[in-house]
Amino acid sequence: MALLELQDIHTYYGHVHALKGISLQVEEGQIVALIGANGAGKTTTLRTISGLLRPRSGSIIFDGNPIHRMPAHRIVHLGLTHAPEGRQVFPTLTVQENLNMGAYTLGNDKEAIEENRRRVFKLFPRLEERKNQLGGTLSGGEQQMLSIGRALMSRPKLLMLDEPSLGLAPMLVKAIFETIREINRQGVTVLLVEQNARAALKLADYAYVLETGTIALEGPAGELLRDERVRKAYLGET
Amino acid sequence: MEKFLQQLINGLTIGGFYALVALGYTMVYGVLKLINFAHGDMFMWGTLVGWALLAALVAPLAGMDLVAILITSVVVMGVIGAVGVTIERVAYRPLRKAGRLSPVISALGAAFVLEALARNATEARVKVYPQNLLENLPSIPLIGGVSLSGLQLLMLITCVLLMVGLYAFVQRTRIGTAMRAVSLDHDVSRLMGINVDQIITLVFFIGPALGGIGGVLVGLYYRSFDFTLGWIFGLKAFIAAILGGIGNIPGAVLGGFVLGIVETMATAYGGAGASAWKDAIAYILLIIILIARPTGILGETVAEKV
Amino acid sequence: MNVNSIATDKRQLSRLGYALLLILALALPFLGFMDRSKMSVAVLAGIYVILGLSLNIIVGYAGLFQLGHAAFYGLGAYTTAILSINYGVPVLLSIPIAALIAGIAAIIISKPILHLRGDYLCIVTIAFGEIFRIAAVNNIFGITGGSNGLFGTARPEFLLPWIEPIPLITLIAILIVYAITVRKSPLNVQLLGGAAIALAYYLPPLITGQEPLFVLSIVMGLLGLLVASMTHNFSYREAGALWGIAVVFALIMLIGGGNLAGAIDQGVRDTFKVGDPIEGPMGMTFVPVAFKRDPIPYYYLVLIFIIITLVGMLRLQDSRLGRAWLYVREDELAAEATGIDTTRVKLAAFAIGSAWAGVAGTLYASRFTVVSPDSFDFLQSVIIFCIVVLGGSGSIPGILVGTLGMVVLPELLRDVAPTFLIEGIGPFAILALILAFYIHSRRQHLTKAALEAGAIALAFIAPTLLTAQPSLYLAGIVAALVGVWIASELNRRDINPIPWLWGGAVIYIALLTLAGQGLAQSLSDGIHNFRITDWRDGLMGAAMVLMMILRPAGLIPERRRGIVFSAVAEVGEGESVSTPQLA
Ligand SMILES: Nc1ncnc2c1ncn2[C@@H]1O[C@H](COP(=O)(O)OP(=O)(O)OP(=O)(O)O)[C@@H](O)[C@H]1O
Ligand SMILES: [Mg+2]
Repeated sequence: MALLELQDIHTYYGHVHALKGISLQVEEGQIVALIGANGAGKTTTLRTISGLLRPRSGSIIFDGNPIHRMPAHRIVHLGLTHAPEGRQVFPTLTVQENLNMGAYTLGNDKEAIEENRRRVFKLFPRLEERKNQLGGTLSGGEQQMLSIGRALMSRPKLLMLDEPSLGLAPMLVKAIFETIREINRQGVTVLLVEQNARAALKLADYAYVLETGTIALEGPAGELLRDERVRKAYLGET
Repeated sequence: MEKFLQQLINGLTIGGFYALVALGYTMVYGVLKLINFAHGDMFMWGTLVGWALLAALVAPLAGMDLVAILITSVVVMGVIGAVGVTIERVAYRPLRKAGRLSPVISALGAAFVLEALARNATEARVKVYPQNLLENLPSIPLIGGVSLSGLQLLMLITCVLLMVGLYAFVQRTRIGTAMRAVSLDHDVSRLMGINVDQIITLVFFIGPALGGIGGVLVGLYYRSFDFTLGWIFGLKAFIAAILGGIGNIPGAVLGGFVLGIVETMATAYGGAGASAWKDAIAYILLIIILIARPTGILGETVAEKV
Repeated sequence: MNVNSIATDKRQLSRLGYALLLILALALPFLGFMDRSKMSVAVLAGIYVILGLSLNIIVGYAGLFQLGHAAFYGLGAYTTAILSINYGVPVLLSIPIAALIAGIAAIIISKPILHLRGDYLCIVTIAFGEIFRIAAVNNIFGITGGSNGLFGTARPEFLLPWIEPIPLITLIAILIVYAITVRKSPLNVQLLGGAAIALAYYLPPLITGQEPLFVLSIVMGLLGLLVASMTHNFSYREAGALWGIAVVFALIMLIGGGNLAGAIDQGVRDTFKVGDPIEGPMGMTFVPVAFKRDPIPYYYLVLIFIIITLVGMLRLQDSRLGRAWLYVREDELAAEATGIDTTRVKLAAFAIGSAWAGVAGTLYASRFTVVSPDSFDFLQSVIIFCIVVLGGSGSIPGILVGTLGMVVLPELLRDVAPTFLIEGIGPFAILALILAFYIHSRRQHLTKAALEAGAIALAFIAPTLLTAQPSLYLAGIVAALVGVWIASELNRRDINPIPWLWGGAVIYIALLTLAGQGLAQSLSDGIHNFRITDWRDGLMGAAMVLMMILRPAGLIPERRRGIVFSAVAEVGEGESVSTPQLA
């Protein structure tokens, strides 16, 4: 059984029908990419999964639990975390405190927190250097690291990343993608939303293409990379 | 000089009360961006419950004033905290997503209800705190003829301890950090697994509980009160919170002391008319400070998303 | 998009509503149940309507917080009182001065604080309101009379010129307004309608041969104008209607003759205390009008001001300034980006709204002749604020409803014996209101809602049925509210509330039966000792909380005009979507 499974999800903003029947699966251990144009509904999909938005109909099963009616904070406890679009670190909390908030679900289990922190610092040594700096004073790239690191602090089974490469220099994008692969190697399943379709498809095992609230195309990432339509529409080739 | 020092001490004491009540405003504003207009009346209910309890306790605990006051304070904290939590549930939570006007009306409505209840509970009369409480505390002579009464010292210590305790809680503990996170962004806090509603409930317990203690202290200090105390004192405490920069705990404390001292000094040195204008001092100070520094003394100068 | 045409359709409907309302308002003093004290309440309510409309410019249109409006209202009242008492300025002449002073004060005061964030502005306006009150109590500059205030403001007194051409001039004025109103229609239709108005206007003097009947003429002319302005598309149908009215009127005049017309005319003169004509300078004739304690002339005076305010407000809404307010309210940054000087726009809202509150202050001073600081304290500011917000901020019908709730109802409650309220129709009215709201909120599932409402109604009636104590309806209301709360909580969690509600009602009744008569008796005694004046503010507060929970956007929310991004996202417990309420 898949780790995460969406069945015919419909989400609305008031009268705006943003997701029109999304069904998708994320298998344990994989990296799954969700690509699509601006406004296709990628962020909405992630926010629906993490409980920030409530779908009007459809079901979401995570690790055997139905979560489509569950409050967001309880979903995190099941091992599903979400690094939101645009980083969104807590600006007036220090790096350390930001990470501690990521480990909020671990309660006062000092050892586990310490161990996770070490793991995150290993992935992002920059964060350790700046652990007493305020989140808001980090550079954009560092904030992205912090956002991802924070989402890893609770040792999730599934990590959802919303455009981790947004606004980063090409070098840094490469590094972040490397890190995502490394995170996946450590056993974390990843659901990755990306504008940068080529990089995402290269990294992912499986991918979905979202168009105005519906899944237009899906398949193993390698196949999509070769698909005529994808190449035209998302990889900028003619 | 003597007069000045004496007034400074009085101002500090009163400022401590303002600060204590201002904390509740500032914390609620932090997590909900809501002016909790009912806070002043919860503070007044602290005075009221404190008065009722002390009146009942002085006889059985004769000679043990401190114990009576301690018991009173603890019970008042619990009761007023519970009132705060109830008000949040009933009057504010249903309006979380309802824009900015409706919660203001609801808050004012809650304040009116609390005030009407107190008016009827006290039969709209001035109530007097038990006499002679703590009167044999030694007063501490300072330079010249100035002295710090034992009561004042006790109150200052209480205020400072509570404030330092709160600050340490918010800065050092996991829950306190979560409180700061919630005041920055509800959604991201949820993504951390923080139960935002629970944190808000906690804030609505701690704030009014501190306000309630403030109410007891004010009752002990001024010896009498009536049901209108909450509105005026509450408004001034809110002004103190703004003076310091709302949403900011040290700011509330600073604002409280600044207001207490300025008010006392202005009344003492302002000549004959000053005491009639005493209540206007806070408002004038507020306007001056906001014109000069729109985010308050310690408020962040960076534009805030509101 | 078809938004505009829909909007005009709706506007036409509401135009008809306004017309009916106006007729009702004109006839109010002559309705059977209106006595003198109720008329006084009506005058007061009228003043609050003006205050609500004026605050609506600031809060509803421009989206700014203002919890110190009573200060400007008071400023106008004190200005009038001081001018009248110390300098003998006739009160109606002091209106422009009161408006000017309130407006200028608003500009001076708000200029440095307008850039403050919403909540800061809110508290600063409260502070100004308090400073005003304290200043008045302390007899600032020795002119405010301290905490007792000022006594002896004169009542309105003026001379109405009574010259021959007056009827003609009035008719011409009416026809000009008519022409502007129907200017989009074909010329022959315009002429047809105009002729009907002119005919109705001249009928009373023509038929009866009595000159002073022009008061009745004016009424007829205005009625014609009203009919003409009720529609956007003035056509043969409407012109025909005007003729119909004129003919019916002619028939009445012919049958009733001079007696009827004379009686109506005399009635009008009596009401307004119109004296006998006197000779004035330059050979002109004047009739003196002097207001006394009688509220009816004040009522009409206030009504005229309400109409002026309304018309002005509607014009403002559609003006450039009105659109600028809308932009500023919805999205200040975007408004700034499109080149709107947001500070000036907001300042204009403050100045106009406050100046108009000053006018209301003049009316207050002239009606009550006493002004004191208590009449302009924070509670007044809250009441005015509530009038705007409870009704639905930005919405004019909302302000009328808000005034009914915040001013008329409490005033009427003052006179009513509490037993009537507690045991009579009061509780049932409240129950009906609660149920109506509840069913409305569940209108997608009407049958279910009705079944749920049944259990709630049972819980309401049970205490009284079981004990035969009518006063326990009050306990019933509490039970009904608890029922509504349970029902909505369960609905929110997708649990069918019907079994729970009915089960709960049964258990509740069983418990009541067990608790027996003793409890009922003591409760009932308690209720009988209840004095409503002690609890007025508290009840008002509870109503405020309840109203906001049930209808956060107000009773009759404003229909959003123009740019609307009403992005209310799906429930999601963590809903971050900003709903552009007040900017
Ligand atoms: N708060 C909101 N209110 C109304 N509509 C919204 C809201 N948020 C998103 N939408 C709409 O829902 C649709 C999907 O938006 P979403 O943010 O999910 O797109 P996205 O695929 O993440 O785009 P991007 O690549 O630009 O981040 C868009 O049409 C958007 O306009
Ligand atoms: Mg997105």
